[in-house]
Amino acid sequence: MRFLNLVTRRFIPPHGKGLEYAARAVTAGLLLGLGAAILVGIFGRPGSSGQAIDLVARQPAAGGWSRDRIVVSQGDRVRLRIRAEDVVHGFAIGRLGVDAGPVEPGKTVTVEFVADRPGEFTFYCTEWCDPNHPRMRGVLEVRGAGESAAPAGAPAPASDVTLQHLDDPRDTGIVPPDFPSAMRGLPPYGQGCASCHGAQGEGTDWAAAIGRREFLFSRSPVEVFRMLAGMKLPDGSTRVGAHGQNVAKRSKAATPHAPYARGWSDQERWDVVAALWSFATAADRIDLGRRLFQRNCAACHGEGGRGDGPGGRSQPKKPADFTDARRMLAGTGELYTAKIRRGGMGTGMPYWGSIFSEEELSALVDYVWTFALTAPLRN
Amino acid sequence: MSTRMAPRPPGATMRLELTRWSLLRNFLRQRALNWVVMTSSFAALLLAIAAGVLGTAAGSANFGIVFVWIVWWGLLMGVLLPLGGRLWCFICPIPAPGEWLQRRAIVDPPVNGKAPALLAIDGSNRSSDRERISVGWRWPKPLRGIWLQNAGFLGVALFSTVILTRPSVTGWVLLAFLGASVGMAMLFERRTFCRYVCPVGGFIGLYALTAPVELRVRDPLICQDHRTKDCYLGNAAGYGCPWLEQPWTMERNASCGLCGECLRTCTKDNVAVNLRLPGSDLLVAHGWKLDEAYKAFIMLACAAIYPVVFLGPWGWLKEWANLDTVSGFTIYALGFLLLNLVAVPAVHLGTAALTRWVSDLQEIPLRRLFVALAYALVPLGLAAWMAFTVSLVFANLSYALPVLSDPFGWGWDLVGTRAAAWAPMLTGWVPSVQAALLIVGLVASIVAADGILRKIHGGQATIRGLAIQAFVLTAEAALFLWLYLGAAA
Repeated sequence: MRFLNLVTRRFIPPHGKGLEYAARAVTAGLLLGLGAAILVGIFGRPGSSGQAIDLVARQPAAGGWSRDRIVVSQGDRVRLRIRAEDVVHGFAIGRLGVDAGPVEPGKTVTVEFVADRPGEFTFYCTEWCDPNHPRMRGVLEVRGAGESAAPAGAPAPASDVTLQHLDDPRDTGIVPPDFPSAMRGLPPYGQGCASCHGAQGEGTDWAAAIGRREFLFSRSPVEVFRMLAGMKLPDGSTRVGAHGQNVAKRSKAATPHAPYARGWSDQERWDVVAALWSFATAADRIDLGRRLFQRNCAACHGEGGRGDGPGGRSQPKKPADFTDARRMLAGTGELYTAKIRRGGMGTGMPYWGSIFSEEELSALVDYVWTFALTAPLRN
Repeated sequence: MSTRMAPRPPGATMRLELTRWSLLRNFLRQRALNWVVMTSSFAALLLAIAAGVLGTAAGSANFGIVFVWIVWWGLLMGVLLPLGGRLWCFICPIPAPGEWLQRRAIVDPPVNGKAPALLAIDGSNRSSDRERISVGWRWPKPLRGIWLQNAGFLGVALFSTVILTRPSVTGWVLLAFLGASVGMAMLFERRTFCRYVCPVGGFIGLYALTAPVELRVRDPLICQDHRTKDCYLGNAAGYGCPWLEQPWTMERNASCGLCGECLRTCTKDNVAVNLRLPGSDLLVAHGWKLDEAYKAFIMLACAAIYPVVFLGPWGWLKEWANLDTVSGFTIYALGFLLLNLVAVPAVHLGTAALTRWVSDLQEIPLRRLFVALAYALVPLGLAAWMAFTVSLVFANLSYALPVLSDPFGWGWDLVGTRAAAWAPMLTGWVPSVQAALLIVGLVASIVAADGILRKIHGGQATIRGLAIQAFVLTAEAALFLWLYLGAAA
């Protein structure tokens, strides 16, 4: 009371006229109004519908996402209010098909979706924001009905993760004289192969579908080249295993393919290989792969896939050069899928298995082939 | 208290008294005018502090950064300072709460026509000590002048890359200014903070010398016969000069905050606001002081450093200035301080010595010439700052629209402008405007140098001395032209 009296005596003017009181009222109102506005801003805006979850994006060096785990229930309509604090960030949950697009500094982007599947889904930044950008990730945990604890955890590893040869050195031993061209490969393929394997490698009753992903997935381009050239494969044979199996089903002896490619130059053989790989994909898949690559990979691997992206400079190991035919053409789609899914294990490359769907992984690998094998398709 | 009266300023006939129009005079005398202006800016200041401390860390989306360092700075350097001198000090909200507390009133004039003791020179016959809130000390004599303001400005300028780009730092710095002004108002008389401490007030006072507006007494002789000195002590119509100025001796804009109290308190209707030839105050010889000379050097040096750091292509330098590494910043800080406090003054000292030698001015102490000729740098310095401001404001002013709607960067859309896109304005004109400003500044500086040399030389022209000055000023202007139109373009 004494303090109140002191304040009253000191600050309430005994001589106050109307204007003075009005001025004090307006000044006090301004202060209170501003304070109230700030409180409203901090504790939630009136009129916002649904429960919004605020997510602040900062460069990984400054802390990354403000939350590294968001827990919702299955069936919830999730409303995320994403704000970038420093540079342009992006937000996506690959396996749920959620993409908020770029979030400019100081701007807030709201994205809404229904969490219709239980599980853990990785959300991640989709814009190159920092040398550690690939590590700017978090987990959206969608709990099923009645679940109170975290679900089983990460999805079961795909079978290819167990491949033992994932990090083995690869070397074709043979280099195409010129960049393989699917377009150039079409005429020799048409003359020598189409009559048995179909015009687009789709297979016939008596010959394998050699232009399909299922066939090519576990084969490297150099294997197919060697087979066409009559060279011995690492197992000592001169034929492609699945082809032989397919033929064997029809009770025919497996046929070495070199005779069919007789008279072809090495370049023509590589061109036919490129044609086979181009049969196994499609323009829309290449386009999807290109978008994924540019958004997520180009910063380190470079837009041209040469491993010369600016982000690669800060990695412990130089990113892979996809234009290095000697190395690239010795690998298989299966191998590259596994590497993307698993990550680089010490090379600095993050794992993408929890982010990309199988379709996205497949499209990305198709696009990666274009750097060494199927470039014409990009045009 | 000095009883010296201001002589009739030279070129008095070139003045146009604005307050002879009763409408304007009566408007300026309204007590509520200061409150309306200061309260509005005070609200903006509080919003800037709150947004800086609590809002988004993205400067381009934070009211604190956009409205302080783009809108306010552009308004100050582009309009208020060159056209109105210390007009900003009339608007400035930072001294507002301290002054309101000192006076125990926001609008009202002093109680019963008496100023509170702290505003009175004698203290005893004005109001009782019981009513004091502030201690009301006088500012120590050794600290008078603008040396502290020079140091404060150097400190702010040295860390400007951090302050200008990080909203939270801007918020805390503004809060510190506000706290310091309130604290000093509780300890010292009137606007001691504004006059002797405010880092911004120092350069505003210096560049206000060039302004085409002034507040002066009409006839100093009337003041001589007026014993009560209401303009300094206050009366029922208003408070004694908050800036501790004695209007009847005032010949320069440097320390007049244009608050208008003397317009209200003068019972002889002897105070006027005039339009005059820009730069008149630069030639007021008894105002030439070493602290202001150093302010001129500091402002000139910073006007060269800012475009290099903020607009130039030298990323490594920006990283140093941005405190990315301690070693880098240490090198930057040493270079910054050396350039401001040693290199530019040394060049100027050499120029002054050469001028003295070729002009046969050996009877003039070098120190006096050194200080006096520093005032010739003022127009060029102001022009360089305006040129820097042009590039800053034209490119970034459009950030103000979204920030108006969303001052904290929290996703608000208060006035429907949140989605307004950043759109640089008139950027094609920037180089031309900058070049024009620098050329005008150079010409004004050469004219000022001529006036100063004539003043020192008893009214006679010193062609050789002026040639030296013109050469050096031209070289400095050329450096600025290169910085703005070449290196940083």
